[in-house]
Amino acid sequence: MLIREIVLRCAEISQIRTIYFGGGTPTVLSNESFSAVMRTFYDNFEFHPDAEITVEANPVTIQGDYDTLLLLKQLGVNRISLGVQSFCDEVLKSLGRLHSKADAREAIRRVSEIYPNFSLDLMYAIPGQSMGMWQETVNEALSYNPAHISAYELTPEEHTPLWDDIKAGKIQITDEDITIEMYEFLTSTLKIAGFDHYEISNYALRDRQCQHNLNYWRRGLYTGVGAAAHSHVAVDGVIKRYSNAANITAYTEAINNGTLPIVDELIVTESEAERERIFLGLRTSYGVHFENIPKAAVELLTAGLIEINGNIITLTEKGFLVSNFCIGKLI
Amino acid sequence: MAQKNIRNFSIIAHIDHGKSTLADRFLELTGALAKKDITKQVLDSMDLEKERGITIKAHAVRLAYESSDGVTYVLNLIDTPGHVDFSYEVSRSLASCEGAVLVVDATQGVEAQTLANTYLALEHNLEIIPVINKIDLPQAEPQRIIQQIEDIIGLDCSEAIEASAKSGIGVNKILEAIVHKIPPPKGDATAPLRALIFDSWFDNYKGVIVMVRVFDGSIRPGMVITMMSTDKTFEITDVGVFTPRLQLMNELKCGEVGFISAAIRNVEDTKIGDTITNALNPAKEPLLGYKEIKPMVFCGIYPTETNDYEALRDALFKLRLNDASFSFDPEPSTALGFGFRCGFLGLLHMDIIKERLEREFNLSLINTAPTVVYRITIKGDTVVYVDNPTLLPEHYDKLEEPYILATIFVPERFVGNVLDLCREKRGVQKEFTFYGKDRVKVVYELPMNEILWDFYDKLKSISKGYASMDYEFIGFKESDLVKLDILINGTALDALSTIIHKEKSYYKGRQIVENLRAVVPRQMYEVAIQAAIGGKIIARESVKALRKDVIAKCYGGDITRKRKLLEKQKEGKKRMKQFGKVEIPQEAFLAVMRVGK
Repeated sequence: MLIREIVLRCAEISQIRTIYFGGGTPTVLSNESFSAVMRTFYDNFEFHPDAEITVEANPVTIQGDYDTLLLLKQLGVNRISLGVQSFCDEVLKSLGRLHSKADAREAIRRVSEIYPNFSLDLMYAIPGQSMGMWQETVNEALSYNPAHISAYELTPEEHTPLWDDIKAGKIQITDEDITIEMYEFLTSTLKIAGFDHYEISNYALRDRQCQHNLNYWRRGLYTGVGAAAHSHVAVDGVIKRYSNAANITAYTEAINNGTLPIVDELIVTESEAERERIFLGLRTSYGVHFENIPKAAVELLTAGLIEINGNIITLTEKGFLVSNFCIGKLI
Repeated sequence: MAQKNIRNFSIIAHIDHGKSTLADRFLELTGALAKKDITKQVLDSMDLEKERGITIKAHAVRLAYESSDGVTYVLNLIDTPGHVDFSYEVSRSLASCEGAVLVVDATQGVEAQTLANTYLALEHNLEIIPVINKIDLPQAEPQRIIQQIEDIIGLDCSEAIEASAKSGIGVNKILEAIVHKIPPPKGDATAPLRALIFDSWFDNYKGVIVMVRVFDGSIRPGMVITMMSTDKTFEITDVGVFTPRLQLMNELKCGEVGFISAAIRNVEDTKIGDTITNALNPAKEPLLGYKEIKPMVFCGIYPTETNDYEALRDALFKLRLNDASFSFDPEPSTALGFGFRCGFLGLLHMDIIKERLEREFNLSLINTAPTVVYRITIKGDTVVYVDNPTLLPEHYDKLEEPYILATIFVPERFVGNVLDLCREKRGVQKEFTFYGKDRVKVVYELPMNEILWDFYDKLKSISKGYASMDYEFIGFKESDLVKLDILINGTALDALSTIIHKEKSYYKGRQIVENLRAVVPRQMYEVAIQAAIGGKIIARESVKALRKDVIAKCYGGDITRKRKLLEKQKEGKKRMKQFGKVEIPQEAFLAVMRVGK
């Protein structure tokens, strides 16, 4: 099904610069299927010589599977992103993760042997996670010499068990002051280790920024394949964002009919595009170019939340912490 | 039409007791309108009236009815507004009648409003025809209701008519009773003209249309008339009636009800209750009962967007063309910019005007907490009236607040709650009477200020909707009142000042700052919110400085959702008012009103 969609999409893409296989890919796709998908890409598209091909993996499935890791490498995959989250079993349990810290360690060992360019996902402000636990996790992550780290604050989403437990008062969310301390520990520690805080929640060693994600933040075009995947495309000069049907039946039906399973298509107007440019740009350390610096910038500058270099505004570390507030003022 | 064949009457009923349905039935039975043309309750023509089920503006319809005695009578049905805010208009409408049909719901019984209006009708010596409506409902208890009317109002109900306006039962009987029991209008057809104004409104084509009842003489196109309260003169262009369609006439004779137009541009020149006379042959005395109606409730109305000020002013001018009973004066506020201090007959009147401004003129508005008018004596003998708490002078000899006499009807099982509520609102009991098995009438003297906040809503909720209330203004009384200021980072926010009773000031001050803390968003700096009386801080809360947003991911699938979120946040920001360095959301200005107790 995926292969048929990829073929259907040929017209949209001139050259592939990055591919990102999202959550759980090696588990869902058998080695044979994965090979077939990759072959379809190679057969139908031209690749950029430095194309970045990332596979997102979780520690449980990848740790014992040395063969798969080798196969992926042979098929051209050159970057692995591992959803480690934490090196503390108590915290992993609280998150409802299936892997233990031992699984995580084993997975990293295997991955790092084959892929020098690997990234670790970490999470903080998790109920039950102390400052000490977080410090240990960050330090241990650094000990494996990853090329890249993504770190998010736990955000309880509506309609999840965690949300319900918080509402019911069964679980206490992490205190604001502790969350800020965790963020500050993370940024200062990674800085000393030579990481560039190039996006609000992403850190990379020199030249190891995730090219795929940078493309999102630079408002580049991309094509998402598979159910519920999002795309940002230009059709006859019209910029559109849309997603594929999340419903598998609807998705399959459309592909079988030789059509694209598009839902929620949105034409991006010029002013919307401009707001996208500002808010996405401000999320990165590269900032945003303003023809005219907005009046509100003065207040933010004196508060130390932004820096202005010529016509480019960038958020400071302090500004990243209150990014919505700053973006709201500048948008 | 001979004067002896004219019958002028109103229908008195509580909301939902069936007044409009009965009026529709009259129109249908007299052939004024075919059934298919009756667009459910013809008399309530304004959209708002239909939605709220309340008649706001009085109208009058002329019906031709052939009675069983073979004579055709002219019936003038004068409609009355159904809310206590408009009681003066009701009294002028009733003064234009010789009789009234009292409609009481056979399942509900007498309510406070019914009682008040029936008493008004009796004061004007109107013949009352009691009608027990909705007798076809299974839970109808006509005998009990008849007994209730006799007990509470003291009205002889031996000939009360049992009816169902909805299904048409008894409607003919009512029409016959109108013809045979209500006397024809008295009045001297040869005397100088005296006509009572009971309603007026602005029409784009004819100018102000004035509804009148001719008491003496007659009125014709070409006649030069004088408004007796102002001595202004106009030349009549048209006279006529509504059937309910507009129909021009050669004249309105003694005893008749109809409209006049005279190229009057300003509705203020046609004061309700005023007497119209012939300028060339004027009457010596005006009709009794004229009084200038004054707004009782005031609030500031401000445009959300500062540049909508002109649009708001134009809209207020346009609305006033139709309603001379509300007032507006420019008022600057440090927090809200330029707006108007507006005066209304009551809270419902205020809601209606505000809703019309927003709906008909597409304005987005902020209003400050409503306030009553205070009477202040300075330097022993200078009396000033203050309708805005910020304008209260620092030193005064006496501060008085308006009082009302409230009559409340409530089933016995809820009476304890009602007494508690009245006590809590500083009420003094004046009467407590049982009627029948389970109905109680309680009369309280209450400060008007106390019923502005949430009295009516509370009364309804503590009585499960069964209590009804009517009130009248009885005068000013000295009270121990203080001005409560709200300070944001040390500076008083003028639009949030209120005048309240000293005993309640601490509680309210605390409540207000707590409410404000909940609605003021966190900003770059800490925001201190304080309540103060005469410079003394009595409560304090603070909104901590914003320290962090959530650090979340934002990849390909998150962009549109995130953009929309930021746009929404931006939109919300636009509606905030900048006060110094602090952004105050609109809800803050309602926070004062949402204080319980």
